[in-house]
Amino acid sequence: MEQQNSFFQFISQESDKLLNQTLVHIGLTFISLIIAIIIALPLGVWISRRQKLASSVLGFAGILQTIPSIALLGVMIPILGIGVKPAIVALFLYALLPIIRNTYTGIKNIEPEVLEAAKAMGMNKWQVLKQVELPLAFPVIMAGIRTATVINVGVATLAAYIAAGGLGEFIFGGIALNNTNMILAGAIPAALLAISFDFLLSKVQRIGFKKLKTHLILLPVLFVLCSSFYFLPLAFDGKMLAGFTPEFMGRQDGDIGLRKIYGLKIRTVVISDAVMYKAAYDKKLDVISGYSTDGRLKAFDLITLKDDKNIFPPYFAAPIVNQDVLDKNPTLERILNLLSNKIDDSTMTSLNYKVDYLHQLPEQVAKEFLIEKGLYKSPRNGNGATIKIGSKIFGEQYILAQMYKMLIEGNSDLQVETKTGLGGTKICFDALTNKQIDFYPEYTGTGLLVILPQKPKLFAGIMGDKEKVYDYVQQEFNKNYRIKWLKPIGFNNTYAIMMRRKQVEKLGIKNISDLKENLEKY
Amino acid sequence: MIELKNISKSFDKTNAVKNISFSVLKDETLVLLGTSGCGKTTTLKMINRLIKADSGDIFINGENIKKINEEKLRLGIGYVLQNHGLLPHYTIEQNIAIVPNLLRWGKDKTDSRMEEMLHKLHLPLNLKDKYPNQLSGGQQQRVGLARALMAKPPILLMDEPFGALDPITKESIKKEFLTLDELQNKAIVMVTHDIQEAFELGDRICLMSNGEMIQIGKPTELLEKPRNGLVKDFFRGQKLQLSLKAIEVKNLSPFLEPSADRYDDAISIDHQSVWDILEILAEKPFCRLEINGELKKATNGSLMEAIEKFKATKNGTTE
Ligand SMILES: Nc1ncnc2c1ncn2[C@@H]1O[C@H](COP(=O)(O)OP(=O)(O)OP(=O)(O)O)[C@@H](O)[C@H]1O
Ligand SMILES: [Mg+2]
Repeated sequence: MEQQNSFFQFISQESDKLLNQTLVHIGLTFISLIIAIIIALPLGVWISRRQKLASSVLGFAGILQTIPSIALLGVMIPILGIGVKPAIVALFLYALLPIIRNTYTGIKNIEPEVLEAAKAMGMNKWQVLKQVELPLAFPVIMAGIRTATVINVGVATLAAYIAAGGLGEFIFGGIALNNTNMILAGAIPAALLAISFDFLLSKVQRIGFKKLKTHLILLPVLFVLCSSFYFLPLAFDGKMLAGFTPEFMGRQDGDIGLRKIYGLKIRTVVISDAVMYKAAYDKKLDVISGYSTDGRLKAFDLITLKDDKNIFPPYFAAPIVNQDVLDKNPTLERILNLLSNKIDDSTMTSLNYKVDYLHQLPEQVAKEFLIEKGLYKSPRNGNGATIKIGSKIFGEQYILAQMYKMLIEGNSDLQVETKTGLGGTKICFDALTNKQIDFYPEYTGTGLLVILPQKPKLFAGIMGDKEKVYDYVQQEFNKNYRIKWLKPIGFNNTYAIMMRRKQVEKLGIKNISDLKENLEKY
Repeated sequence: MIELKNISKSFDKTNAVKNISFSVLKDETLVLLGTSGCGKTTTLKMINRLIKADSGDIFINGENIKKINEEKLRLGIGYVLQNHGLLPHYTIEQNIAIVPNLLRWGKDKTDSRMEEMLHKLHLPLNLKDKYPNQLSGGQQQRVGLARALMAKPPILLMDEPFGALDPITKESIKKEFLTLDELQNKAIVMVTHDIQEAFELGDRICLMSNGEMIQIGKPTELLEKPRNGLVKDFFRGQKLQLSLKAIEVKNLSPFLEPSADRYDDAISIDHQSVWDILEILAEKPFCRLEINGELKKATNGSLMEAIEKFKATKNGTTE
């Protein structure tokens, strides 16, 4: 009951955002759908006339369909940048196959005798298409459009990753922030949209082409209307553009803190961490929320602004382990602590740089580092119990997971299984508490602000002090979850506000307060 | 009216039609007769250019059809498909109105003509709003015919119009067909593989085999003067029946005994064949015929004798 209450509370608190995101979501879905229909319908008709082309066109559209959505969005960015354009193009590409294929099949499945009859009566090609082929293929074509719509509503959630908005902002923000209400506030409307569009289009499908003809003009109008929703919320202005991750958007020590404590007012889009740095480098964004040890900082020549009002708490990394596992495997704790205090900020940044930017394999980077520090031992290939290491879905975590794997395999007979790329904090932490993994590297600040129940007053007191934060999370995790924080690895991967070096130098900005002033100047 | 000159067509390796020539007068029915796969449908479809001939020319009213716009050509030719070929998403009304709509007739003209056609083909008016799959096979066939005849085309092509029907329905539709005024004064090409049908409905028959035209002529000619063994084989076992069907009773009038007394049960004769009368005589020993106002008496025996005498004088041809 309490859960439900707070869900509705969340909705009513965030109703503006929710409405905005829903409209954007509908807009994205329909703009791409309209373009897809405009292209795919004639294409489907065309290949039904040219058997030889059919398999290659359908094959090509099929291949597009199999590209994972995130990868497709990623591929779009160098070409189209971030925001609406790449999102619409990606959605458009996904919608192509169902519409082309159903148009083609629908037309191909018409009895040849019916077409012959139409021709024999004296209809020309155009009349045959309009009066016979399209009406008879209509239910099948509509089924294709329905499929495409449902796919698009789903894929459009990913648009949030590349600053195109939509309900994905809540969904991914919620996952990152371990906030179930926020996830549901995105996921439920998205599901409702999919269901209701599917339902409405099924009605249209049932009405049939003939009766629809008179209303046919209404359909595009309706579609365009839905599409135009997209542009409603886009009426911003402002000279600088910030791109923040969904996680950063919802955090006290993120966008909320920036607004509250610094009073920063900047036009903001939500964007995935995976493309944010590049977008800043490409001048698509001016201000981003990065991590202080991120390798791309180095790669894209970005500068961290000083957090002069201390809103970002310390984020010291340390492995967090299920206590049971430590009890069962007494050597494990000592082995994991081998890494303690071995990696400082700049070391981590350059390790990350090798993986994120030079595209070296995390294994290789991890191994080289361990060898350099004299920690590497060849695997013993023992057959003890299996330790499952988790990691979140970014380079630093992959590297750490690999290091731990090598340390465990070299120093014990335990076997190791890695489950890397577990998405955000929520997914990793749930996996840990559900014993699907035994440990993963976590950050003190995340433990404090994302995982533990919020106690703002208490936090305010300890926020500035890295020892106090560490002690507090260690205590609380032990008490609440029987999870142990081992010794910190050394570096502090805190949130940081970053800008391009050139721009910072030109504007003379050193810290976040400078940025705020600069924004208010005009 | 229609003239085919040295028409050939092959698909990949099959020579479907080989060097066929014939012509059809403006008020005659030509039947293309032959076994399955001998190229009848192919020949028919070349006339309205649904299939393009490989070589040879087809003329309609002296004009080469290659030079006529495809759609315009087809609008002037009624076409009845092998399996009715009604558009499944159109109601009966819409199906029948296809050609008038393409010709941009007004609604009133279309409606009154439709009513006329439905009436002539014994189709209840309430069928108009039904869809083809809600009709019986015989009704579908008649709708197909109505659709082809709506715009009174001077040419009618029919591909096994009675193919899918049971024998009883077939008989009754054929009877309607023979008496339908809409079919008079048209050049009709009809395809069938049913020999009886060919003899009942055709003014002339073009016998095909393996894509070739073997013989063309009046039904009796094919029977009496087969050009080769193939033609003979074709009619083997049915010859007697066919020849009885090919002879019209009215031609036997001079050789039949007059009937002295008048009775109301006399059958009035126009186009009935000897076969038709023999069928009646299967149920009673004799009957009376009224031919051109004269009253004649007929029995099995007297009809047979009359045929012999008729053949002897006319040398086997009717009229
Ligand atoms: N579109 C086509 N492609 C290839 N071969 C074809 C095609 N149409 C017809 N044929 C072949 O041409 C020959 C003649 O076919 P057609 O349809 O004219 O025969 P038909 O006399 O109408 O036969 P039926 O009485 O069975 O309808 C057949 O051997 C058939 O297989
Ligand atoms: Mg045929």
